[in-house]
Amino acid sequence: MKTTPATTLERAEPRIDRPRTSPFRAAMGCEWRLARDDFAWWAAVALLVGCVAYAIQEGRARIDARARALAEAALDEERRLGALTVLLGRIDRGEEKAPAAPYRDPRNAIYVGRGQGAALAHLPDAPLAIAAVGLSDLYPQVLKVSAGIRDGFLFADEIANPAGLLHGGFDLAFVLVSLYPMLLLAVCYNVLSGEREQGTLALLAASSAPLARVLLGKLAVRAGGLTAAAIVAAWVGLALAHPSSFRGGGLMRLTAFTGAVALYGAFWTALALFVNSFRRDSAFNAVALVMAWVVLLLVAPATINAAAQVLYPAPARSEMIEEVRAASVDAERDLDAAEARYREEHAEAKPAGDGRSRRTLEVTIAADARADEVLARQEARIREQRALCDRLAFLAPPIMFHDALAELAGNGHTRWDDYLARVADFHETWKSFFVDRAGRDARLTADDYAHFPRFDPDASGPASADASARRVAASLASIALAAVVLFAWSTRRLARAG
Amino acid sequence: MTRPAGSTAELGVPVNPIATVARKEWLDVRRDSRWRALVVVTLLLMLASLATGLAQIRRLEAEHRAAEQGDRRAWTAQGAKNPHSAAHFGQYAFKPAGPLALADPGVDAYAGNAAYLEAHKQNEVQFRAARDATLAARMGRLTPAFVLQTVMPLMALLLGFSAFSGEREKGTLPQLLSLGVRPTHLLLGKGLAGAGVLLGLLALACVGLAAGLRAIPSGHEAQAGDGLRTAGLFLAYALYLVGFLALALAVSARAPSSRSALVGLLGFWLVNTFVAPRLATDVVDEALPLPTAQAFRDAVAADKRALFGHDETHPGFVAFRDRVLARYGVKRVEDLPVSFRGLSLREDDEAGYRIFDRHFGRLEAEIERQDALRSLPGFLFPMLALQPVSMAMAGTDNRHHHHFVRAAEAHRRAIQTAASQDLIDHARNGDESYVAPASLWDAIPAFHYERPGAAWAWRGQAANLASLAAWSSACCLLAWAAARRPRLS
Repeated sequence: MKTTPATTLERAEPRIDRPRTSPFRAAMGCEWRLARDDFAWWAAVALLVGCVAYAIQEGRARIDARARALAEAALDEERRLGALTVLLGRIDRGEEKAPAAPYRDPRNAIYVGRGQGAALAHLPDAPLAIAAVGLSDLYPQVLKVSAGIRDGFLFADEIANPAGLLHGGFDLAFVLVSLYPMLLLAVCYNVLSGEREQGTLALLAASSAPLARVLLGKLAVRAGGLTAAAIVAAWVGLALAHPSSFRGGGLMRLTAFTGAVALYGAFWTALALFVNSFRRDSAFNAVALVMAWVVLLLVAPATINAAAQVLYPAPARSEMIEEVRAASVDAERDLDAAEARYREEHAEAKPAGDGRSRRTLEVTIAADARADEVLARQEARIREQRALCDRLAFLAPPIMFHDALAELAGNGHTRWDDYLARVADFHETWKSFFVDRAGRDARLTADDYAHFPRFDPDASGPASADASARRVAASLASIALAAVVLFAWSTRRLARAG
Repeated sequence: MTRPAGSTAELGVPVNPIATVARKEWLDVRRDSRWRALVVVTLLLMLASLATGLAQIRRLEAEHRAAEQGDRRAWTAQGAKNPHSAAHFGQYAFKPAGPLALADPGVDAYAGNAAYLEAHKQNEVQFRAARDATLAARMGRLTPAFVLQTVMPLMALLLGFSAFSGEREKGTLPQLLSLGVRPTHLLLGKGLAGAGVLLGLLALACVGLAAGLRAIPSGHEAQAGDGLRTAGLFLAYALYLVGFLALALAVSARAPSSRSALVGLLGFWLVNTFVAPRLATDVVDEALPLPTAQAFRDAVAADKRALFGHDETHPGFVAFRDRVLARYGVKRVEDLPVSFRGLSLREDDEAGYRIFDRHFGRLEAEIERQDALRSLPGFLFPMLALQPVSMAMAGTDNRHHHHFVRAAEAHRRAIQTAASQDLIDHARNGDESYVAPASLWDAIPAFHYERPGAAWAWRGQAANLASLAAWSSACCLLAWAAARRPRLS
């Protein structure tokens, strides 16, 4: 690296005699020599590398905490099922009487399916999960899928300090989405105005080199160096802190991640060049670029989100509560009426089977059908809100970049939607298993216990991966387009102004 | 509009240099199209945040009312039923959006808004609205608090960063000083003009907020304390913004150039506004970790194993039965004059309350300790002190949320007590078919939540207000010290 500027300068000196020498490369060489002695530039690089390293370490801690929570839940499941099978064995062998209360009986299909037997479902961390928290802190780390109503387990949240969720953690996505562009602007904001203020612009203008190319060469060193530092720090940090980031498709995700960081950096660099092309002083450029940062990173996401909230408000979950409870009341009333009729017609007969379990089964079926209906309606409404946000997000590259990072980390909407859809399918399978048996008044056997349906956490289909890849590609394409447009526009302005 | 400095002195009228400087600065701001644009954009942002917030609050109010009515309908429609069955069916407590959430929605979207009040069990509050929002919502929400916490300090910095350094670079600072204007007069004049702009905008935000509060057709009528809470908001934000302005003036007086002043101040703004809150979150999570949901529920379940619940073979149940029989001087449960089932349910519930109080109390205390630790460096990074004050005055912080949780739990206990008492009074021992009349459900009231008063909110934020005051005062002292010996070259 150190030999490059000298070589470039040696080539740059006889530039007039050799018109093929690139002003871009010559400018890069000169800028590199300046940057080598520029404390501020090195400070920006060091700050960025430090932030990336810290964020990776925090990501590692987050992933370890998730793993601990999952291990606790798995142990709980093992204990629950272990206790049930031991009791079942003792009852089967006649060593113990079956409990009087049906909800304690390990042979009772509906109560085991609804409670003690509940199965675990979780979304494993993707190889690059360390990079972005995304949605992972808002959803429960482990779901206990039961034969009861879906909302009963779907909304059982993990314990977290709401203020912590509000502020978010210091993840790599935050560093790259927010701090990295600010540091880029800090080293690029005066790429042209600085030359004028130092009195060197006249020298540049006097040379035959096109100003735009010279400035691009300077930016390639200032911004390119910072971008390269971020990427190298991320790769090294991941290799040291979380080597599994490179396995199971991780390398491909990391490659896309690298491209995304480079494109996002190019966008902010282009913006700095664009503001410089107005030929105002450095203070103006600094203020304008900070304002652009505020607008793109804070105001735009907040406004887009507010617009989506107003136009497509999120559904009231209380609607679901109300409908499910009304369904329970209706089902109980129907059962009471049916029982009353039965007693009238068969005064001497005892009701068949276990009345409490049958009642629970009927109420569960009725309430669950209503819950599924409401949840489907509410999810459709949430998708509408998201679709609007997705369309508007093309106006703000930081939103697109953040979304791309979350998708690459496996913590974006696509993977979580796919997971929740698989959980819904599994809930149906689980429910059928127990409801069928309960409906037949069949008792659970040891063989049934051995064949309880299991949730496959890794069964995500290729459709989800494709959808995620398309989403990332769309995000990156929009960022690239914005960068190209800004570069082209700036170059044109610089050329036109002479 | 303004008279040139010195003209009044020529007429023999004494000149107030502070007022003159302030008038000149004010004129500059008014004349500069960039400032006009910035003020207009800030006002538009505030207006938009108030308008969208108002729409949001009205929607939440309507949803809350509908939810309460729906839950009441479901509760009273149960018909004749065993009271303990009804207690299992339970009620829901829905958390209302307080009107001042318009200023700062705080943790509401992350804390859940519905608690299921059922027999034997204190449930956690469910349904975090943030889960239904988009990923972009994690990047920021358009609220008055967002504008005041992030955009306005930036404005304060832009107002002050070149106050001294700009004069120096234009060569007017030595001229002013040679005219006998003291540097501290310059500081006060420029500070007054800047503070006028900032506090004027803040006052406009408060007026907008007050107008917004009046526009909420509230079932939760505006309380007398709302004025005190709004005053708390004004005070906290005023300290915050004045502190930023003073810091900018201090840096401007001593920085070698406007550029370096701007870069340094923007660095502080960035760290204070974005980096410190996130770093604090991570540090707090590691220093005072919360239990996982599994560990928490396991701990509650472990303690509850000592209770008998519905298990009539449990040693605790047998011991309680023996105590009751001895107390009434009978040998068989059937001979008791009251329902033993009702008595045992009440006994079990009361023992359960102590367990829930211990575990939920500890969890709430841990969360509040986390919050206190998070705001500890607030005297260095004022955002960490301001955010809790802002949320507390708006009634949307963790402490208010815990107040709601406790109120909901108290109501759950009232339902359990009423149901058990009905069994005790009316059910006969040995008769499993007892049902209470439907009128009992009407007699058990619906959950009604009363927000705590403004004094309660103020008391909880004394430390954070002191931090803000300390930071703001330190910045003012720094500005005074820097302005007394400004850099001249």
